[in-house]
Amino acid sequence: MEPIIHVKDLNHVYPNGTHALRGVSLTVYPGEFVAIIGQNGSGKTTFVKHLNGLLRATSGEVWVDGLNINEHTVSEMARHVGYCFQNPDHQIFCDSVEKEVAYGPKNLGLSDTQIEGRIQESLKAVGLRDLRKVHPRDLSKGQRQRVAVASVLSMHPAVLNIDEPTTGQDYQDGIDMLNLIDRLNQAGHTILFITHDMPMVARYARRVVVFREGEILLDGSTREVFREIEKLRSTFLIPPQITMLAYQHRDFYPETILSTAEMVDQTLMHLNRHLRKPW
Amino acid sequence: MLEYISRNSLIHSLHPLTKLAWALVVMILSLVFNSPWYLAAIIISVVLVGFIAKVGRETLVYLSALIVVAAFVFIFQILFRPEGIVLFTIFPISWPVVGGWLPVTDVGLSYGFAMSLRMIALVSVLPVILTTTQPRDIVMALVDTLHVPYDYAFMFTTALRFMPVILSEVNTISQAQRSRAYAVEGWNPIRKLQALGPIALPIVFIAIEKADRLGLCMELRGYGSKYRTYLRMLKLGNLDWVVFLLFIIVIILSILAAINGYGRIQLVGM
Repeated sequence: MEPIIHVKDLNHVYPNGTHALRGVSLTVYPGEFVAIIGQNGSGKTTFVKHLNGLLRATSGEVWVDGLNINEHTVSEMARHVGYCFQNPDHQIFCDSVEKEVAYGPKNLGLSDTQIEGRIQESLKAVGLRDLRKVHPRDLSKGQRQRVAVASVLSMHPAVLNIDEPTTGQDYQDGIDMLNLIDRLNQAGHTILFITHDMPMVARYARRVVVFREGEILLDGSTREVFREIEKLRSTFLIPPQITMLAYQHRDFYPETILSTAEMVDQTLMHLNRHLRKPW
Repeated sequence: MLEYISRNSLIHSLHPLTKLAWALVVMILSLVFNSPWYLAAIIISVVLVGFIAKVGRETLVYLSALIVVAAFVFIFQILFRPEGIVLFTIFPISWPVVGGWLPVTDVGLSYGFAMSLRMIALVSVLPVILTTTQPRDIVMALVDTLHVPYDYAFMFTTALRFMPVILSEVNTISQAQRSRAYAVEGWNPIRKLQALGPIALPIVFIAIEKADRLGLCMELRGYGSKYRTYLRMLKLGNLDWVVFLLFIIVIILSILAAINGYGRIQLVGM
């Protein structure tokens, strides 16, 4: 399969001299669900902003959806890569939800009937169909974030970059948001999301990329990455409590555990084996 | 943009009021004299002070940016001042109809020189003062010594302080919109105006929200309670008084000189 994102030896130096990315290489295949984690200032956002050309590589190559980013403007890339910013208020400017969602497709030059179709399917995907005439300022923060996602979704990007989708939201809004992202992933979008929320990473991501000081420290399946407790600790990342609990009793739980359900399964399995009693 | 540069110099250690007084002195001198030589000397003295303050390079960069504006002043003066001996005309006399229009005269030339140099001299102190004085110290001087109400002084510094914040927000908003295929193309002014919406509306909303929160935070920390004390009090030092004395002497001497005709050129029609 052709990779959808192919980044080779990417370096980025900001005008003030900060060397934000140091030789980052990453390949992502269509349909992957990738969490990007790391401390603030480790280069996560800088990296993701290269995928639609918001930032230009100081050196290195970036290919997305078969296109060399350097040969295209940000607005040309918009139909290939969607980018949801952390704060929806940085993009919402229309006086109704439907106009906000229609803005991207209009920029792409779609016809009115096509735009209407995009509005309906995007609002359906984020669960805001009943609120299409509402003024976005009258919505809750979680709902506004959904509007932001819908307004990116309506451009049909193959790749969706989502910057900290759960920050500043309550638990339920966070879960809802990630369920939405999960559904989009199942519908075929390649997902990259930046987050500090380790339980959400354990629960949803299928691949995890860890950034430290502008380099990729770890890259692998969620289970492989959360196994590297010491390396994660070196950049002040701590896996979910249940994973740590299992790690502290690794004689008993040799495998990395990502959820309470897995912990229960493993425990029952051990008890069955050691007590030779059907549980 | 001109921002405070932390360096260790004599000028940095002066009281902000002394520096404001210096601005006033330079202003008076550049209005008293109109000879290009004297005005050039004033500019050179300001640049020298800049070098003493270790911001010479920044001062020169700023002044060289001003040369463009000065050039405009110069061109306008020589074009629209018909008094004096005609040196040549922009449209040669031999041309039909327009021949002899827009004469350039000796008075126009020297006037142009004087006015553009005066313009540079008037604002030349700005880079030196702004790079050597912290905005909060300027406010302190205004409030404490000149008794400007604190609210106004606070507004002044807050506006300065929020400029970079707002600029970075504008940058983020523009990135968010460009990610949605926002692009301003062509030279059509109506389209350009329409294109402002996606940037301007979010920034207005965010700025109002920020101002609201700032106001709340200030009140929560006792802004506007009756008695206000200051952590850093600025005192006029001995050096400041010496400099003030120097200023007074310079002003008296230069006014006397100007009355006796030094540093002033006679211009017809003045």
